[in-house]
Amino acid sequence: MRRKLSILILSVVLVASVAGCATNQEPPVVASQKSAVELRAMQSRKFETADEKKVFRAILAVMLDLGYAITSMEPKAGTITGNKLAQLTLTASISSSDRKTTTVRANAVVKTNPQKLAQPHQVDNPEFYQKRFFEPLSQALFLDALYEDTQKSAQN
Amino acid sequence: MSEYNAKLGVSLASVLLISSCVDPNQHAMTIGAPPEVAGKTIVSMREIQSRSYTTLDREGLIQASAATLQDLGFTVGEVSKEYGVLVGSKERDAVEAGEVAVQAILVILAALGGRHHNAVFDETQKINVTVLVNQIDKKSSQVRVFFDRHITNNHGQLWKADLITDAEIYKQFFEKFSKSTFIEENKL
Repeated sequence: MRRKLSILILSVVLVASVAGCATNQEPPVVASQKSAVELRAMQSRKFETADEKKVFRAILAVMLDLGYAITSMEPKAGTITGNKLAQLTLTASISSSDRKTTTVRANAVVKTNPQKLAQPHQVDNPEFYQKRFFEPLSQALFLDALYEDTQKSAQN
Repeated sequence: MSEYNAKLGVSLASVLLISSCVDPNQHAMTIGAPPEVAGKTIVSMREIQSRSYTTLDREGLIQASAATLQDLGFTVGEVSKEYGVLVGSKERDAVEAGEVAVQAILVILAALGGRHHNAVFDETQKINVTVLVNQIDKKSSQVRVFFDRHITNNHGQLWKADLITDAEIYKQFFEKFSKSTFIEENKL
C-alpha cells in the first residue's frame, strides 16, 4: 500500500514539474504577491539632488558596472532598461517630485535560465534592490539612497 | 521495507521539485552580482572597457563611436546624443568545428549502441554592444564600451549568454575607434 502511495506521489510530482515547463508560448511574468506598498518601499529610493541628468548618467554607468547591456532607454521619460545574461532584466525610472530630490524606482524580472520559454518572475527581495542596485548607485552618486517614507528611513 | 520505500519516494520527489524550481529571488542575487575578471570586480572591467580622449569633444566622440560600430558590422539601435549613449547589435556564426565534431562522435557512438543522441551545439550568436561617452572636464572625455553575447543552438533555442571579458576584444575595438577619431578629427 505504502509502495503504491510512494509511486503515486512520485508520478504526480513528475507530471507537475513537466507540466510546469511544457508550453510553446513565451510565458507571462509571474508578478510578486507582495503588496504595492511593500514593493514600492523596496524598489524606490530618494536622492538629495535635483540634477536628474546626473542621476540618469549614474544609472547608465552603474548598470554597465553590474554587467547589464542597455537594451532601451527614453531620456525624456527618464527610463532605462538593461538585460544581463539573457536572464535578468532591470528597468530604472527617475522622477522628481520637488526641486530638491530625485526619486529612482527599479523593477527587476528574472528567469532561471536564458531560454525563451523560461518563466520570468518579478524580483521581490529587498536585499536584491538594495545590494545589487541602490548601494552601487549611491556610491556612484556620492549620495545616500534614502527611503521615500521618512518613518522607514528612521527604522532602517 | 515498504515504509523505507515510501520515504525514498518522498525524498526523491522533494529533490526533483527543488532541482526543477530554483528560487527566482536567490537566482537574481547571484546573476545580479558585479561581474568578475580574474577575481577582481568592477574596477578591472572598467579599466579594459574605457579610454580617455582629449582630441575630440563629446559629440565628436559619439559620431566616431557610431562610425566604428558600423565599420564593425553592428546595427545601431538606440542613440542619445544628450547622454552619450549608443546601443547596437550584430548576428554572427558561432559554429565551432571542435564542438560539432564532439557532437558527431556522440551521435555515432549512441547509434552504435542502439540509442539516439540529440546533437546540440552553438549555431549563431547575437553580440550586443553599449557605448557610453562621458565628458570628464572641458578638455577630456571618456569612452566606455561593453559587449555581451547571446548564443542560439542548432535547434533555434537561446541557451547560453555571457559577458565578454576578454581584454583583447576591447583593445581591438579601441584600435578601430582611434582610427575613426582621427578621421572625425580631421574631417576626412
